[in-house]
Amino acid sequence: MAQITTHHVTDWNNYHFNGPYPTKCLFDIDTNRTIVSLIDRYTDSASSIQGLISDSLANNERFRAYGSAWSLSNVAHQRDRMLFNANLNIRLEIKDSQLHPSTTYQSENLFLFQCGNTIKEISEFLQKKGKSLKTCGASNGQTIAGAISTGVHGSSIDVGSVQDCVVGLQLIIGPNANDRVYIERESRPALSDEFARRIQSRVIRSDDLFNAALVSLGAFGVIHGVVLEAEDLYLLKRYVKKISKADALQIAATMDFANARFKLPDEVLPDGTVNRPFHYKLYINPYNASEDFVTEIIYKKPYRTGYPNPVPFVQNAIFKDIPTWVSAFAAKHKRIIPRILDALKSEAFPKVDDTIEGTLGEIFWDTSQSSAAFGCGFGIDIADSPKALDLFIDLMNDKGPIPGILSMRFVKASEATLGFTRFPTTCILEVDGVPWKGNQNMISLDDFLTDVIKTFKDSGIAFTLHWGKNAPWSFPNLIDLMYGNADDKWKDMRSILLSKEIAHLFSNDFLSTVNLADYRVNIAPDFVALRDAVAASVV
Amino acid sequence: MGYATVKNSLCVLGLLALLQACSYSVIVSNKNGVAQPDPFRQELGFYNLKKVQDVKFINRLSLLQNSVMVIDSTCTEGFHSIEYKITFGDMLRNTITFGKRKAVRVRIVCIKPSNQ
Ligand SMILES: Cc1cc2nc3c(=O)[nH]c(=O)nc-3n(C[C@H](O)[C@H](O)[C@H](O)COP(=O)(O)OP(=O)(O)OC[C@H]3O[C@@H](n4cnc5c(N)ncnc54)[C@H](O)[C@@H]3O)c2cc1C
Repeated sequence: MAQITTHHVTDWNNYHFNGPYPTKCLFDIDTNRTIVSLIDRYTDSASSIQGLISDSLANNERFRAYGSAWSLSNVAHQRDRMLFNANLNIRLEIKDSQLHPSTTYQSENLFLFQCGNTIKEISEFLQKKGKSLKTCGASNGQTIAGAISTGVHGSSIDVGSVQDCVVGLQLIIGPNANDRVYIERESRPALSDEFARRIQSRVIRSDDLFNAALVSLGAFGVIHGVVLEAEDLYLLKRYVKKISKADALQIAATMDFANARFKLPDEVLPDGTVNRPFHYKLYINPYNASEDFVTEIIYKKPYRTGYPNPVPFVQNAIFKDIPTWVSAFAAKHKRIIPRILDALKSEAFPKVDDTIEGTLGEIFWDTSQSSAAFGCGFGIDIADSPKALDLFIDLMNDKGPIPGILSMRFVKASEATLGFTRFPTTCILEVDGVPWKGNQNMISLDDFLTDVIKTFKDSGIAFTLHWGKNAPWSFPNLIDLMYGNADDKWKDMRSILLSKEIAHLFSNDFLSTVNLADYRVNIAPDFVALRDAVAASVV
Repeated sequence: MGYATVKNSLCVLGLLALLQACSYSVIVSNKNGVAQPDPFRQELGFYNLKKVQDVKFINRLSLLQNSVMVIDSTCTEGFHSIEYKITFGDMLRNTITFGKRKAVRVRIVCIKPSNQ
């Protein structure tokens, strides 16, 4: 059996100290490395997790897996029992013989990753095979299960988010033999039934169920394995330029680089055609919005060896507790915030006119930020992005100032039912900074973000929120406002897959706050056949 | 508080600040590999949620030896990072013993073992 250490605790905190939150018990699990066959070691971990689920049920305690604790919201927190799964990092290559007979995927591009593999581990593993992830966030510390569960994105304008590279999921949804399921899309099957049997799972092929389980917020059971589609290794060439606000936002609103006023001479071909970038990101100082925007533009290039190492040789990693000091000071003397931010700009923004090349894993390398922090990401249709930015900046100046800087990233729509990148191309308008305590002198973060939501609503700007970041999650009817009926479908799918008792087991405070915890005995008529098929499936 | 007490406190504070400024550390970190995680280690900065091993001792060198080697057997797949720290006291000890008593303060983070 896998090694499990049980720690009785009183509280738990996330990576950026947004808690602490009360918790009773934390399990630290590691694979049984004495089992030689990796696939047997993998199924052994699943059995051990089922043992924990069984015990939690017997004790009427709820249960939740988490990864790197990088979510700034309390989405990963559970009051009863939490499973730290970062040591579950088995990786398996998929062989031709393991493919579904009618798949369109190539076996050389498919890999099964156990839930605790981090993005960095995956990138390094794939690079050794001449492969790469299609996209990732701005850094690499999330576990694969954690990343897809909240919908982690970078700024890959034509690719999507991390969950959009997933083709199959193995979930553990209870303590019994039939409670291991392998789910993939019916329209795009990837692996054979035989492979699912090998990992002791029953197979469910359904686009609706798969898309709902992709961004699951930890509520569809324990994601034990993730089948990812990779691609051939490539290089990214990153330019950092200052662009006028008007030119930067012309691109932001359309993603039309071919007809944009701004052009990078190095990326214009002799016939005048303009290369389309892989990534486009704007960094904005909200307290001096008339200044040109620092803009990061990245192009995909064929892989070659011998390029200079893009990871800096020296980083100033000897930390002092500056952010906490800044926020305490800022909360008392808020007028000085714009000046502090101006001074810290060189830390927060990339260096202008720096051009570097590297693999995806090198360009989006380790984060050096490891202190108290807040972050909030609003998803908006790109057409609305200039207006949303202006409103946001006005609020930061009128209600604030608050100690945060803005950025905009752009991502292709996700197929995940509750993916917050749900617009054809979503602009993620983000504010990141150091947390502070609101007082009579200064608005709190929650109140500020509530004002942003109200303003967007009143201005007719449709929006979503990053599940793994700070937000006033108890805002009335927030989920309906953001997702229309999509949350009903998500709840139906969850109720099809899980029993009522198990749905309760995998719920938490976050889910209750956003009204996603309820179980549906009566699901929409369209899904009755699916429910019956799922109930009838066996390993 | 009398003037003399304030003056003395300021002197002590100044001295402490000076001594603090004389200590420093350098972290040598591997570009590759992921740090072994520790869900209980919560602290601001580089070691947040990383499993660390602290090695601290004072080593007496013989006449023929001029440096110290630390052999670590805890990292099965290599080092993620090594921090070497030197304090004012360590420097003083090194100087007055003509380099024959060396304080070693090393903090090691291992690479998270892969499942191969
Ligand atoms: C420094 C930093 C940089 C960031 N950069 C970005 C960025 O560029 N882009 C972006 O989109 N976000 C970013 N974020 C947010 C962060 O990436 C996401 O919140 C992500 O979900 C965290 O992954 P994790 O492994 O830490 O998961 P956790 O925060 O531990 O968990 C997230 C969710 O996944 C669930 N979960 C985890 N493992 C399992 C499992 N095995 N089974 C079922 N459910 C599971 C948890 O229950 C929880 O609901 C950043 C955060 C930080 C701290």
